[in-house]
Amino acid sequence: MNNSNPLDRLVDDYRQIKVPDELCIAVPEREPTSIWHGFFSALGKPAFASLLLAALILAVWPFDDPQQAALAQRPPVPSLSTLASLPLSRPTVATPSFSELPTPVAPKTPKRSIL
Amino acid sequence: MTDDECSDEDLVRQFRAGDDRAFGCIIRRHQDRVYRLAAVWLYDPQQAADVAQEVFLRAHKGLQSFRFRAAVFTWLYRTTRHVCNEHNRKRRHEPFDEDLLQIPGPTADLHRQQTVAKVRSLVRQLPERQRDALLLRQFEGLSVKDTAHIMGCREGTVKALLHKAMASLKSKLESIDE
Repeated sequence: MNNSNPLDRLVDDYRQIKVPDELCIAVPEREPTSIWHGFFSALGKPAFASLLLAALILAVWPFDDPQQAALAQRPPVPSLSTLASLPLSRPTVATPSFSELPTPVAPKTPKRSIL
Repeated sequence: MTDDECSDEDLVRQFRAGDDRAFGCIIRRHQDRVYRLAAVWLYDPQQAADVAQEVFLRAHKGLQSFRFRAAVFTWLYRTTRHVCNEHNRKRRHEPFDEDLLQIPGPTADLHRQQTVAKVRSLVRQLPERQRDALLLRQFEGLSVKDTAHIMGCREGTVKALLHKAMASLKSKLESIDE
């Protein structure tokens, strides 16, 4: 390329410059990555962390049906056979005898001072 | 698809999947550009090959966690700048070395050194942003869009910087040739 413009000539010369010897890079050997290493490095990524958080919320969220929950709180309805076996008479409540009643205590009157 | 037809991003993905050949391809694709930029930025351009080596060594580690938010070359460019600044910091009290022509070597080597010296002397006096815009757009031949992306500014800013840089560069070149 033969440019008359000095700047173009300089640019052409500049672009011809190459590394004198091809670079020889002694790179360190890669360390074998474990599953846990991969997991924890992925944990740092926002998308993965959001997914993990969503999965945790789904796992612990109480997704019970409200009707089912209300039914579960009601006492169980006895079956007919259970009802048939129940005694028909009402249970009697024992009335206390007169002697068992507590004796009334007279209220204490404050003593009057003579003076 | 051969390695040469793959995009940089595909090569990085292959490398991350364990294919070290893909990393070799990234080196071959960008080593000259990284070397040239380092030769212009460094106080001592003789260290440009060392810097290029250091950049790709860092890339071997850094590209494992590359997030594809920018182009691969943007990452390499910024790392090159960073490594050059680290080298220059140690020698900032020394005068900028423009006498590179004393090193004996083959003619091609001498011509390369002369070119580097000329580019360095021309861009050295420019403000830093103008220098970056000029090197990337004019000398490396990147598009305005890519240059803006690498420099982290708008395309209009790149054009304005380039306009100023070219004006001062042309006047300097004309005065040299006269």
